[in-house]
Formats: sequence, structure tokens, C-alpha cells
Amino acid sequence: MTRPLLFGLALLAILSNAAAGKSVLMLLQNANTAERFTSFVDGLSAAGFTVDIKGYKDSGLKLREYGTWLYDHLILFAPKAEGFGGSIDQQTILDFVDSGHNVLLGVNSDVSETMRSLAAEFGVDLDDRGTKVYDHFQSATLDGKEDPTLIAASDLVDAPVIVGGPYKEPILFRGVAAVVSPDSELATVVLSAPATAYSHDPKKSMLEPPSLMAGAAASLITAVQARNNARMVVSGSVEMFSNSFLAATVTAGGKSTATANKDFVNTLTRWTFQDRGVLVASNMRHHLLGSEDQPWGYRVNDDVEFLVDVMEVEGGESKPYKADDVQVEFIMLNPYVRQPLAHDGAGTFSLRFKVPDVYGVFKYVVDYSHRGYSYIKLTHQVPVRPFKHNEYERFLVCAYPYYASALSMMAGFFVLGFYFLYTK
Amino acid sequence: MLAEIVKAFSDEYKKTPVRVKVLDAFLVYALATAAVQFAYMLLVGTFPFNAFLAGFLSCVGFFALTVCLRMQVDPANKEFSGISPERAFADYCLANLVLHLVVWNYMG
Repeated sequence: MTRPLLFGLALLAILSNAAAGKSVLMLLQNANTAERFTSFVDGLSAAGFTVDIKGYKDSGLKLREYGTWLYDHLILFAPKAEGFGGSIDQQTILDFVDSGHNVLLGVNSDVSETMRSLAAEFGVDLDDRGTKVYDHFQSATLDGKEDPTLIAASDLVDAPVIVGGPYKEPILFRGVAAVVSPDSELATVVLSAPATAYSHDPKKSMLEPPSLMAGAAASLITAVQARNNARMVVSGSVEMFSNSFLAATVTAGGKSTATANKDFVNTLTRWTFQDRGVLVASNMRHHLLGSEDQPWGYRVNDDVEFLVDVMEVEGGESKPYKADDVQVEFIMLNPYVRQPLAHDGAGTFSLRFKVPDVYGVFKYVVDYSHRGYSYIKLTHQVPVRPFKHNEYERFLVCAYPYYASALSMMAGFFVLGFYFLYTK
Repeated sequence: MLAEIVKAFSDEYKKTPVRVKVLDAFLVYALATAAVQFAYMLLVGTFPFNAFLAGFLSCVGFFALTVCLRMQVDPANKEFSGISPERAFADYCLANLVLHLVVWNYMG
């Protein structure tokens, strides 16, 4: 009686799991301003996301209920929010990220302390409140108004998986700059300011000597991929996601062009929400050359082959991953072997190598972190044993003198024994 | 001068009991075999290294054990007066057994 019910529940759980990964909570300054982002939201819906739009002060806000996350991704387009309604606070958002969920944070120069500290938690230091990115050398004109704070940026990171492209049109940006610590391993500057742009608050006097965040040192958009593969993107401009920027015709450098914002923000958001650049490694296996079975372990100097399948998942479809920089290590405290894996174009990466002449407990390690792709960290333990007692070659012609000498020593011992026993 | 030394040595050596002289002959034999093997290894190469080690060490081990026996049965050596030659020989036999067991194990 209860069995069909349980089965039904299990099926439901599986189905809801399969559908997971696509629900987005979007928090705006005010739910009424949702129509400013319709084009952006439509792009997300077309990519299969269900977007729930709410104001940040909404008293019914919930990210987590009874220990279960209600959403997979979070968009924070509320730069001025000092706190949130409902049960959301900074710690909740950090827990959300810690459990592998993704956050897209858009701010502007009115950024609140809450948003600044959240960005700082992600490893991105936003410039002071009130500062803006200016570019007086290549100011762009939008709707007939020339505006030095309107940046037509095109200095994208060389990682097509994050940014898409290549784009002919510039990307429009208006907002606040950020700095990323140069030794940060997890953060990537996706879009940096043009060489002539700088970040400054016009209401304050310039420091002497001026310490400006300028050029490539000023990050407009920063992507962070945490060690648990959760992704966070901090954009200094929330406007660049708005309809007016997505559909804008901008005049920059004397030319009138459309903007690349639409494709760019769509690609960037899909990357943020794990819809692009996700690597799935599976079916790690290894065997002796000439045998298909995976052995329990190896003998020193064996010739072996290591294989692993790596697929790249994009938009729910997996296709073979192709790269020449995936490497495998064969480690016993030190990597005795560290070699790049060759791929066959169908997602199988392999390496043939000779097991070192050292015995002990070894590990295969594939530790792959390529900018824009989720990390691969695989380990597998393999013992390597020395030759067995009966595996040495024997009855070798060139070793006969040694056999003979050992035999003669035994004979000598017998003769000596006889002599000792039978003479006085 | 050298001739005098050799003569003094051989005169002295003639006083050694025959039994000890025989032991000395075996010592020379073991050393010679070890030397021949070493020369062969230099000529042919170290390839069956375990076999070389086994053959070489069987000679060296036999030499060492026989030296021990010689010390214990030499009547001129008073240090081992408490040990009878029969007891010394029994020890020698046991040690040789172990030695050759190891040697053949290692021979491969």
C-alpha cells in the first residue's frame, strides 16, 4: 500500500532534482522597476531559467526554508540596500554560496555598505561610495547626451567561455570600479576599464599625489569562482543589464554603433549560473598496456595507460571537452610523473607512461583549474609493488659463472666438512 | 731483505697444523672465486645484478665463516680455548646452511 506512494515520492524527488539548477531569485531596488530589466530577464528565461523578481525589502523574502534552498541562483540588483526584508542577510547569502550556489551582484556608485561588504567577502574591493568611473578621452554619447561616466569598454578577458564573443561593438558601462588583489587565485577581471578611464569622486578633492584607480587596474566586472565551484560575479554597473543599455545605440569615438551588452550580459549570466563552462569528469580508469582490466596495482616499470572522460556541459547538453593543458600526476609525496593528457576529440583524455622504478602507494591526481571552467579534482590510489620473488629472470646464460661459483662454494663446504670429520 | 721475510714467514707457517693449512687453502680458493666473478661482472656488465650479488656474496660469506672457524680451531689462538673444535664446526655448518639458503634465494 505504501510502496507505490514511496515510489511516487522518490520519482518526484528525482524529477525535481533534474529540474533543479534553474530557479533564480532576483532582488531589485524596488519590484516596480522590474520593467527596466525585461530584456535581460527574457534572455534568462530563453536559457531555461525561471526568474522570481522581488523587491529587496519584501517581507516574505526567503532563500532557505527548513534547511532547503528555495533558489539555485541569486541576482542582487539592489545597490542601495542596507539590509534585506524577510530572512535574508549577508550570512545567509554566504551560506548560499558555500553550498555551491551562484550570485550575480550588480551595484552602482550609490553602493551601500552592505553591498560593499558582500563584494568584499567575494574578494572584490569596490571603490568608495560616490566614486564613478570617468573617461574624458573617449566619452560616449547616448541619446544625444555626451557623458564622461558612460564607458564604452572592450577590454574583455581572454576567456570566451565567460564572456562569449568576440564582440565588434563596445560594452556600455556606468558605475563604480573595483580592485582585485593581484595574488587572488579565484578572481578574474572580466572587464577592465579602458586605459584612459579612472575612478574618482568629483565632490572630493584629488589626493596629492593622486592615487587613482585607473586603466586596467580598475576592474569593471569581476568574476569569482570559489573552490566549491560556486560562481560570483560583481558588476560595478547595474545599468548595463537594463533595457536602455541593452538596446542602446551609442556614439563612441565618432562612430555610432549598437552595444554588445545584450549578448555579453546574457553569456556572463549564464556562465555565472553554471549554464556554461562546467566540466564533468567521469569514468577515470587505468590499465596495463595489452590488457583491458583495471588492475589492483602495478609492478615497478609496468607500461600503463590512464584515461578519463571530460565533458563540457553547456545549456544542459554535454559535448566533448577539448584542451591540451589537462595533466595527470602520479604522486607518492612527489609527483614522479606529471604529463599532459592527450585527447581524442571525443572527450577521452589519455596518457601512456611507464610506472617509475619506485614502489609504494601512489596516487593518480587530475587537478585542473582553467580560467572560466569549473575545477576538476580527481584522485585515485594505486599501489606499486616491487618484483615478486619469482618474477626475476632466471637460468640466464650470462649468469652461469655466478651459479657455478655459488655451487662451488657449496661443494667446497662439503669437502671441507668431510675433511674435518674424517681426519684427525 | 724481502727474501728473508718470505723465508721467515714460510718457516713459521710450516709449524701450523695441517688442519689449519687446509682451511687456509679454502680461504684462498674463496677469495680467488670472488675476484674472478668481480672481473667477469666488469667485463659482462651488471645485468643479472642479483645473481652477481648472490654469487659474490656466497664467496665472501664462505670466506668470512671459514675465517671464524679457523680462529676457533687454531691451537695457537688462546682466545677461544673454551670452545671445542667440534662445537666450532657445528656452528660453522649451521652458518653455512643459512648462508647458502639465502644465496640461492637471492640468485633468482
